[in-house]
Order: sequence, then structure tokens, then C-alpha cells
Amino acid sequence: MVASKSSTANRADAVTASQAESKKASTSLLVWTLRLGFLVALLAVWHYAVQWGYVPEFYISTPTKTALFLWKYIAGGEIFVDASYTIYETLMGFSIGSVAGIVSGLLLARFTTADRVLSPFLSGFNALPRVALAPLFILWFGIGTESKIVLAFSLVFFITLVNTNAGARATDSDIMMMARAMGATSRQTYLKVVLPYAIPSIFAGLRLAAVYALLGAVVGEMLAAQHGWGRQITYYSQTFEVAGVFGLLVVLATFSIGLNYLMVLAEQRLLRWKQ
Amino acid sequence: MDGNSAKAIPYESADSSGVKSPSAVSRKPSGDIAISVQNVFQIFKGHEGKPFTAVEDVSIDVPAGQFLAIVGPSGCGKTTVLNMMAGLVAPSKGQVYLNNEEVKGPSRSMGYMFARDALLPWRTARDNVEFGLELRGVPADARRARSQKLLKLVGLSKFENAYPSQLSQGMRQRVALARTMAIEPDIFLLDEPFAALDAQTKLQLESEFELLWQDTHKTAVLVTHDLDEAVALADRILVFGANPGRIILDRMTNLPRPRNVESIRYMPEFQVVAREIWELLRSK
Repeated sequence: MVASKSSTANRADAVTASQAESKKASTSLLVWTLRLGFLVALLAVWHYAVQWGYVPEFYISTPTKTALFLWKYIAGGEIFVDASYTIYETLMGFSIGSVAGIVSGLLLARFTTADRVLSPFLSGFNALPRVALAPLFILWFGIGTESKIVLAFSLVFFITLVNTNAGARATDSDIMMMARAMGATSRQTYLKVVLPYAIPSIFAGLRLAAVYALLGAVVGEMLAAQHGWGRQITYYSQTFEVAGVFGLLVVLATFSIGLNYLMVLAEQRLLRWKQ
Repeated sequence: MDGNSAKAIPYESADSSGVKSPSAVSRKPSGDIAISVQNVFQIFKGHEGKPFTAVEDVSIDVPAGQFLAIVGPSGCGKTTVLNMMAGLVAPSKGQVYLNNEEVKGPSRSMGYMFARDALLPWRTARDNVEFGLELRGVPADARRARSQKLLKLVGLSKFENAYPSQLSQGMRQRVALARTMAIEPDIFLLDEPFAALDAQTKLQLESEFELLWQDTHKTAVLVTHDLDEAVALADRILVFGANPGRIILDRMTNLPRPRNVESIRYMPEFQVVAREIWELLRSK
């Protein structure tokens, strides 16, 4: 329950929030220490596995060499050239794909006949592993950024379409009945009830889609490209520079986590009513 | 709750200057019929295509300004008949008229309320109260004024910016009540609006509703399985029987107005009416 005056309510909220935060902070201090310990242990296993000769360095390199590679990759500025390609492809594929996916998902939820006609085709495309289309996309759109954007788009589009469509159909039946009884037109019902009701589900789709957009861009680059993180992974593995491959994997994971974090932030801002 | 301020609701504000005596306003059946249900049937396809009659030949005339309660066991079709009045369900046979117009769908002059609050979780209490007004294109400042007044009347001024998830069940149902009141309906159709509440909150909300309603003199139909609630609130009681759903009793209560929903239960007249209906019900 909220406190009795709105100003007090805000204060009370602030108090409980800060209490919750400090509690969270104290638990997460322990958690963070343990996490750090786990990371150190992991690196140590890696390091000594090579040092003591259990695994040849040729296969897994070493933590030191990977760190050294990363340092040179970043300090030499090479990372930014690759980043500009991979990030551009990811964001383009993500934004075009998610807008198209959300709009189509909403349209299909509204026009049920179209949905019934198209649904077998959509499930067919959706069932197809889109990555298998990558060579075709490269044939059609060349080895530049376009083919990667198309691949990312094809992944993002279906994920957001399916999530949006499911969300737009799941409107609570009591709320739909209330809207009808209140005299809402079908347009009003759609804009004021169905659409807002679908937003959490759309966001779940977007979070997943962001990761898949990166996947599409990287896989496309791995097949044929001149720049980008995916292309560098292929290059370093073909030249047996495992430290380079590991270094790029660290870069990719970091970027992916950052992307996901941005999505969570946006979600929290937009869905404040969802406690 | 704040009974005095509850009377300040702006319905018929023209004559709200003096002390009003709602009983002085005619609620006697006149030629003015607000709701007319004429020989309606509701037949469903049951098991193995065998038709199942949920409502059989029900006719009801509700004069304007009357508060009618429909009671009966579950499955007697009372909600179905209410939903026919609301235009949410089409009868298999027969017609329903609201204000002499045949019902083809939900009418904007009706206010509907049911046991679930059905609040929009992404809207604050105030924005939920304004929902119906928004649908009717009422300008923002007028909406705001109305929602603030109504939230005050249901005792939730301090919660106008709270989301439904932050409110208790009773508070949520109060918001739903304010939302229904906000559109100033001619006809209230209520499907067990207090059924999901605990006994104390239920009593509170019943009296809040009665106070708000008494100043409006609008027609109201309440569906409930609670005979005491029906007698306490209504002028007239219809008892439905099940299998098939039909009217088995139609009785005016003739209890005085205005009334206090909480104390009327202890009046001898109340108990006479309630016992009479209860005994009739048992003998059927």
C-alpha cells in the first residue's frame, strides 16, 4: 500500500527504495566478490592448463596473450574500425527489422483473415534457420554491409513479429469486456487497450532480437566481408591466432551485454507500472 | 467514508442548491420505461448438439429511476439477462429496449460494472477513471476535474497517481466505481460488483454506491446472489430460478429512501421483506 499523502507517498517510496537498494548493495557486495573469485579461478585454470602442459597453447592460447591482443587491438584503434561496421549492421538490422516486425505483428493481430492466410508461410519462414540463408544474401546483396543487415533483419523481424502478435492477442478478456461495455470503438479498443497490453511482450521480443541482430551481423561477416568483428574472428582462426579469436569473443560478449543492458533500461522506463 | 462530500456529486447540479430529499423525486413506475426486456430466450448448443435453454421467456419492464435487483442461484441466467440489457450478449429470441431503443450493442448511456475491477494496469487511478471520458472525447481539463471529484468521493484523492498494482482490492473496485460514475450513465448495470470484496469492504462500497446513486435517480439493475445486498440496495427484487432460467418472483420492497445500507439491515421492515423472499425461495 502507498502512504496517505502524495508527497509522503513519494517520500515513503524513496525510503523503501533506498532501503531495498542498500539491502541489494550489501548482498551484491558478497555476490560480486564471489563472481570475481570465479573469474580469477577460471583464468587460473586456463593459465595453468597451458603452463603445466595439459593443453597445447596452440589450441587455447593464454590469458596473458589474449589480454595483450586486446590491448593492442584497442590501443591501435583497429577495434573502432571493425566496431563501426558490426555495430552499424547490427543497429540497422535491429531497427528496421523490429519496426517491420512490430507493425506486421500488430496488423496480423488486427486483421485476422490476413493472419489466417499468412500464418503457414510465416511459420515456414520462421522454422527455417535463417543463418542458412546467409550465403544467398551474400550472393544477392554483395559482401558489403547490406547482406549483413538483411540477415540481421530476417532474424529480428520474425522474433518481434511473433512476440508482438502473441502480446496483441493475449489481452485480458475482462478488460476487453470492460472496454466494450464502456462503448469503445474497435479503433479505440485497439489503441488504448490492445496495444498498451502488448507492450511487455513486445519488449521481451526486442531484447531477444537485439542479441540476434548481432548474431546475424557477425555470421554474415564471418562468411564474406572486409571489415567487422565477425570477419576478424574468421581471419584469426584461419591464421591460427587463437588469442585474437578469444579477444574478439570478449569484445562481442561485452557489446552484447551492453546492448541488453540498454534494452532493460528502456523497458524499465516504459513499464514503470509493472512492479 | 465521507458521506457529506459524497452528496456533492455534480449530477443534476441545477437543483442541488437546497437539501435534497431523494424520496421526493418520483421513482414510482410511470409510463417512462427505461429498460424493457421482451420475451427473451437464450439457447446454447449443449452436449452432442442438444440445445440447452439458459434463459426461458423472460420479460422485465424497469421504470426510469427504479433500482432493480435480480437474485438467484448460479446458473439461473441472471447475468445473461443483464448482459442482454448491456448489449454484450444478443438474445437467441426476443428483444431488449433501452430508453425505447432496441439494443444492438453496448450503449454509451449505460454504465457497466462487474466483480473484477478490470482496471488498465498501465494507467494510474486517475487515468483509469478518465478512461470512459477519453473514449467520449471529453477534453482533458474537464476529464481531470471530473476524475478528481470522483476520486475524492470514493476516498481515493491521495491515490490518484497510484497504479492498480499498488492498490488494495477494495481500492481498485472503488476506482472502477468512479470510472463507471464518471461517464454519468442513464442506466447502471451491475454484475455482482461487490462480490469479490471482503465483508467489511463490501458493506462500505455498497453504501458508497448507494450514496452516489441516490443523488442521480438513475435506473439501476443489480445482479447478485446476496439476498441481503439486494434488499438493502434495491426498490424491487426479481428472483430467478434455474434450469431453465426464468423469473419466479417479482416483488417491490417498499423500504424507505434515502437509506443507510449499513443500518437498514437492522430495521424490522428489512427483515420482514428479506424473510418473506427467503421463505418464498425455499418453498419453490
